[in-house]
Amino acid sequence: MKIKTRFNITVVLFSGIIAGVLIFLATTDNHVKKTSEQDELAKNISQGAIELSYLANDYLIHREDRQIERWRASFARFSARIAGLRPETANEKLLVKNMVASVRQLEMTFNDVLSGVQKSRTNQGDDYLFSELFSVSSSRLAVQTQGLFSDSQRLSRQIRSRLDRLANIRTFLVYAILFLFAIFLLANYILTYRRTMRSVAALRAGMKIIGEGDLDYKMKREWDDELGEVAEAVNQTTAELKKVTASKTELQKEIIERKQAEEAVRKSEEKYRLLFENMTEMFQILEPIFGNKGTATDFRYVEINRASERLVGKTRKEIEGKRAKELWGIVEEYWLEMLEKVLKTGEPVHMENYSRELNKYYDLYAWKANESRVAIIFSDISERKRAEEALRITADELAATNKELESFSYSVSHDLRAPLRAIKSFSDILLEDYSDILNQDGADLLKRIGTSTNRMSAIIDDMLSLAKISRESMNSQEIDLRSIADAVVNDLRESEPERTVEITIARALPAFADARLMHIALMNLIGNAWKYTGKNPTACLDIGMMTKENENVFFIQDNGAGFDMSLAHKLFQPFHRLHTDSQFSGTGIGLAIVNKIVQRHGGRIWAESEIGKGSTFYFILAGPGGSKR
Amino acid sequence: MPKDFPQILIVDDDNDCVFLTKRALRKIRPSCIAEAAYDGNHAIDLLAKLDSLQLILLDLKLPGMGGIEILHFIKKQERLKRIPVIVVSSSSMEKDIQESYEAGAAKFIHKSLNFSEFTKSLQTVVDTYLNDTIG
Repeated sequence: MKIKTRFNITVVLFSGIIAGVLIFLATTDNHVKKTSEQDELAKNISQGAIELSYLANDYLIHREDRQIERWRASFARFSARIAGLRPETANEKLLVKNMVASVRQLEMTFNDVLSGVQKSRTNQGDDYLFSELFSVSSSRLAVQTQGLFSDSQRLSRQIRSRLDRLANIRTFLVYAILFLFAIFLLANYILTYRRTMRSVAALRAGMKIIGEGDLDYKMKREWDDELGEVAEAVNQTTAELKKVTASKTELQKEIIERKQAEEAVRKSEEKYRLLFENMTEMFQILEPIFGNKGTATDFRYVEINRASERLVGKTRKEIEGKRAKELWGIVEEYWLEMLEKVLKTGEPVHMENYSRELNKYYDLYAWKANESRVAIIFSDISERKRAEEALRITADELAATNKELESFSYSVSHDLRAPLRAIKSFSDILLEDYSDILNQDGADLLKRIGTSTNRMSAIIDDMLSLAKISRESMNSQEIDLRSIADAVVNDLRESEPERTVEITIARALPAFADARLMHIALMNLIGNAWKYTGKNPTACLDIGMMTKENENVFFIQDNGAGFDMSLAHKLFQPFHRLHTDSQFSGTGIGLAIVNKIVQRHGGRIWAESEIGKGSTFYFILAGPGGSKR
Repeated sequence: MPKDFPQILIVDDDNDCVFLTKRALRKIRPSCIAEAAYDGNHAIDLLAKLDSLQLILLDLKLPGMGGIEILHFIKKQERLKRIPVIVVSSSSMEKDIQESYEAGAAKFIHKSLNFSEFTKSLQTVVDTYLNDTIG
């Protein structure tokens, strides 16, 4: 039960008892008052009886009519008083009844006296009669009034005793109620006090624990009352507090993080500032100004760095906040278009720009700095541009030279070959048509002319093809060198079917290269191996690939004549031969061509050899994207 | 000039070359008449004159008008366009061969260093394109 309920019950009970006592006192008081009035009435009746007795005697003595009136008036009051009596007990009722009867007799007696007096007046002088009447009547009246007097006295006593009894009962009842009430209060007090004190003590202990920081502590609900509710409330508050405390910790963490972030931003800003100020490139922040049609018509310099000041030749004060047209009088259209594009698309622009005023080339990178501004970094590429220009001129010159060389080559092929052909043909004709008149020596000399012209023709052909290799366009793709090697080997076998050469070709030789050029290269390399094993009856060729430091190294190995490694550096130079023509024929161009082809693929070539044991040629081709053309 | 003998026009600026070609032709077909022009204009003059021309042997590298230009000229002439033109060149460049065929050449033969080889290739051409009236 809740304290409030108990409290209410106590108050209601208390009020009820007080009200009961008050009502009881009020009612009994009224009763006492009425009873006292009756007592007073009874006393008055006693006096009235004496008064009536006196007045009757007085009349009997004086016999004046005025005295009759007085008696009757007194009697009327007397009768009224008797009528006012409200007897309660049986005795009282009997007494009152007697008194009413006595009053009636008294009136009759007085009336008898009056008629006796009248008679005596008519019979004047009959004193005797009167004295007789007088003595009889007065005694009768005296007896009757006396009776009334004593009756009223008895009534009064009776009423008073009743009054005393009533007073006693009242006093007793009041004491009894007060006593019971005191006991109730005491019991209530003890019970409430104990429960409240226990709950309060539990609360206080709990609060102390919570106060010491244990926010997980849960209060026990001792009773199902307000203090229990308080315990519950404290539990809830503790839970809330715990949340708040937790979020407070988080908040603190957040504050620290934010401070760190702010510090980082500040540092970053500082770094940016330093960079902005000290970078050698021009850095400008521009704000395009849009015209009525929504296109940029001008721009304003928002911020420029020190490099810009230096290069533009104006101070920041002179530039910042100014419009380009104000400063320069004119703004180039493409420049405005670029700014507009960056701002509208949000995509950065990278372009080259030439400033006529500064006679400088810039590589500029522009990006959207915010909703209305564009940031631009200008790298001075004038040097590079000039170098490029020089390079372009050189390249043009080179192209021109190449063209000349081409026409020269053409001329060589045609013009040199024509007389050569004539010499050769004439000697052929001589040998054929005049053999009958030529002696052995003459014929031999003509044959030597033929051989020489053949060699010279071969040299011209090789020279031309070397020149061609450098000029020709390349079309590199994923190819298998094995199929090319197969084709080359087949051609060789067909050209000299009488030779038995054991040739091993790796199953796959993947490469990223130009197939046509690689055909020429392999033709030369395998052809060399074929040629230089010509004097070995058990010729052996091995064509394969190995991987070294993540690179595919192709190799062509033979067990042929070999060469002196100390001369290896001359191997790939054009027209340099390590063998005499009588040993092995050749023009000395083949390996130069191979070297050129490998170089054009961004690779390199080298060889290992030992005289009499054979040679191995190795080459590497750069992969896709790695070739330098 | 006897009308019935088949005429062959050699267009080449090199004397030796003309000499060798003529010699080879004489060997192959002694009855034919080989005329030589040493440049474009000369060739055009002769083309107008020769009335029983059956074959043209054309070099590419010529002073002034080039061989391909002469070929184009011939192919534009109603009277000449059916006469087979054989390009005879010392060039072995793919570009020259291709251009020749595109311009309407019947065959491309290489000026071989070896005279008998050259004679052989010329023999094939003559056998294929020359109307042999006398034999």
